[in-house]
Amino acid sequence: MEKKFGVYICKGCGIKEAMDVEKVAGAAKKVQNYKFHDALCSTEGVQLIKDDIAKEGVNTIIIAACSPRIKYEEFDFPGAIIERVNIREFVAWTMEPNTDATNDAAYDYLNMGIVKTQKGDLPEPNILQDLNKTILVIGGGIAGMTAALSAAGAGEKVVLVEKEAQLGGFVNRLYKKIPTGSYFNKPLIVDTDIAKTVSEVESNPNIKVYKSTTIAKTDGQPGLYDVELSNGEKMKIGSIIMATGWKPYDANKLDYLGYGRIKNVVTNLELEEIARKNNGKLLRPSDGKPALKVAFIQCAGQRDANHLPYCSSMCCATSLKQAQYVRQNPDALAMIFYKDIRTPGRTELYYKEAQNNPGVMLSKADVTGVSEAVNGNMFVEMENTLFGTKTGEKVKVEVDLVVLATGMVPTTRWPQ
Amino acid sequence: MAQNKLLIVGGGFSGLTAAVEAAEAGSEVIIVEKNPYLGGRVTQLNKYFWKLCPPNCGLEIQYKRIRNNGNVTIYTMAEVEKVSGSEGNFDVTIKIKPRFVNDNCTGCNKCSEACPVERKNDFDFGMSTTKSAYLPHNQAFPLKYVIDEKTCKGASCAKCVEACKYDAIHLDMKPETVNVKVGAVVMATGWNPYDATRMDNLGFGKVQNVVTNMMMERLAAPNGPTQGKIVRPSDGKEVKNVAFVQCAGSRDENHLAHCSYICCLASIKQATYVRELYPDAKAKIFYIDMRTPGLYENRFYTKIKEDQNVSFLKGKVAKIEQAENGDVKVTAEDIHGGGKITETFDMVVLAAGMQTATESLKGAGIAPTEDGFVDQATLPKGIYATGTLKTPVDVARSAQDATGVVLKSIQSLRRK
Repeated sequence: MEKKFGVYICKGCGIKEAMDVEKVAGAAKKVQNYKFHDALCSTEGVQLIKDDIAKEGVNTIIIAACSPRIKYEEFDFPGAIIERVNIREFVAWTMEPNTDATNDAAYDYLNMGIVKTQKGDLPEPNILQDLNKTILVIGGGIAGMTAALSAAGAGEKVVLVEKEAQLGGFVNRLYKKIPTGSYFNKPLIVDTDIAKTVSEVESNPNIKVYKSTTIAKTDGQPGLYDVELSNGEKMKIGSIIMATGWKPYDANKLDYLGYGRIKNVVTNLELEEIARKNNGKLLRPSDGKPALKVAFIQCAGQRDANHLPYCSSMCCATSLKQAQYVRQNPDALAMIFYKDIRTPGRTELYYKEAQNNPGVMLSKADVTGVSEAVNGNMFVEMENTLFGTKTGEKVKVEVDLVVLATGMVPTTRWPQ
Repeated sequence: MAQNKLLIVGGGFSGLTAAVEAAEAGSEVIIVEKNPYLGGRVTQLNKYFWKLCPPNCGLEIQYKRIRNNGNVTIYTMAEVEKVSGSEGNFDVTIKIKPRFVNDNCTGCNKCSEACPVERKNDFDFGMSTTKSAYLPHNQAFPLKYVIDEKTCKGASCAKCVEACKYDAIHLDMKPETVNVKVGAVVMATGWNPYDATRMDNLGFGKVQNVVTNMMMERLAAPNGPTQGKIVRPSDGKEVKNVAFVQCAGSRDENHLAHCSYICCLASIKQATYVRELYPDAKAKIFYIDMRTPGLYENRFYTKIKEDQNVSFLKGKVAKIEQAENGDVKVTAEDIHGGGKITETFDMVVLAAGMQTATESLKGAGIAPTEDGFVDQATLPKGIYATGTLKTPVDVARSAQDATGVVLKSIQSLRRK
């Protein structure tokens, strides 16, 4: 476009008191057309600019006034190049008034603004041809399914790719879940209802589901991705949502806690599977007997420089939930050994329910090891507990099942 | 035909995020904010945990996204009075308090200079004053002055009106009512700090130099009452020995039964403020459980534990009393050592919890749950809750939640 410049210098808000505006306007000489106003943002000031646009054909507007944080609605002239030069906050309000340095600074800011408009043009929208709006969701667990349903519900086309033979991810392996929202007057463990979500996804006309499928290749750019699936199918995709989730930390690395060495030491995920398979009964792997004294060891391989240095956020709540599984048998006792119980927000009220349960015992403890006792039982060895022991004094507790609260490793870090 | 318009109640970080995400996805957005400025609680913070960067830059990005998007209408000093109708077609009545300053305001500060009345600055929790004609804080957006109705002497004074060169001040402004039609409503009214005077044993309001965590943010902030120098409110003494009292009101059935989630990380962060400012200073954190779930959060905790001058004591604080010379005596149980300990500090910071701002829900006809929050499942179709209304969360999680909730609300706008 042929540029017709207009430089507008505001004298209000203390600008003219702080600098020699005529000198500052010298920077505008190279484009010739410049004007002053006492309050450029006023109706008359804005009209001055509008008149120049209408009558003179001004299309490149340099406004030397206040910060672009304000008066952005007033100084909005569609179709024109607009440059805001901040001589109020940057100069008039913050520099010593009426010195050479102050005048020079304002002059330079204006000069820079003008040169910027001389060198630049209005951005041409780079609208690519044949943009695709299909959303690819990778991973059919609860995150991926929620994303797919929400996008489809907003009218978008979705392709959902899951590497397993069925949708649902880890939730498929759970026996029950913690209810969401208020815990008052509710059962403390509820069905996951994952089958319902899976069928909503599979029956949604906007979602195309691929199971037992992975992504072979992605290429291209936003709006124009070329995606190839493991079955050889190729498709155009607009954007991609990664929802590939997590894997449990490899418990074989936790042999000091007995895993792999002692049969009745299981992970929190394995406990879910035991409960699910036996309709809620917690039967020991070694002999199939119901577990009556279950120890949960929190932060198993977590918050530990030798394993996962971080906290997985979900294991405290998971063990509190699993303690409720234990308590479905009124004769059984659950013991939770923790570094800190981390139940932020309203989950605290869930923790409270466990504290009020006579069959759930909770103690801070540094668990140092798990050893075998007789009849498939185990000793959990610990120190620094809340049992009234002295600092460093070791304690042993005999239990018939040990659950390791192992953590989450993102799939992006797999293999571990 | 459903309205392609979304009402967002609350312009804090959740509401702002919801607004820009929805507007950029092509919906028209109305923000109703009860304060004279946007940004909510985040505007009062000195730094974010765990990055320790100032929140202003993230806020400015959100404001810029709003400025560059013509789809957002902002009502400040406004509250929702009534919501009727159903998903796709809600009728909303918005009540706007008089600001006494119109859009002509350039932010030049002349009204404030001329105003003869001082008021307590609630933005700084009463630790500083402003004039009755004031800018809420120096990064306020929209950058527009306000006249405090409660303290202004009105037309008999009108010195501000004389001082304003831009005809921006009208002391006869009346409350206004605006009616809008929207397709969906997002409630993002946030939280208030729990009233610390309600915890008798912790001495707030009676014992000198006992402050809340939000007050500590203001004391540490460069735009706060002490320009970022952390000193004792009673005598301006540099604080060299500070106690942080966790769960001040939280996890306590007499006060807030829930865990407020942010306070452990906030106290760790505030310990870094003190340590950075005074290299020889000491900080002690009294806690029940240190709750720093996650990857970076736990790393933040691990890192500060390396600082020899920051110590952690597991035990609940029983009593806070005045010692000599403005010092503060703290008595706490020592769970590991057994028994009680008593120590004296320069200043004590109460990690006061989050209380849901439920008073702002009434206009929308929403009743909180028994535990004081909002459950999405209990809301009418087309009305959504986000952020700390549902459970205490930090800023990052508020932003994530708001983004997700926007996708839900867009479904309400697009449903046929």
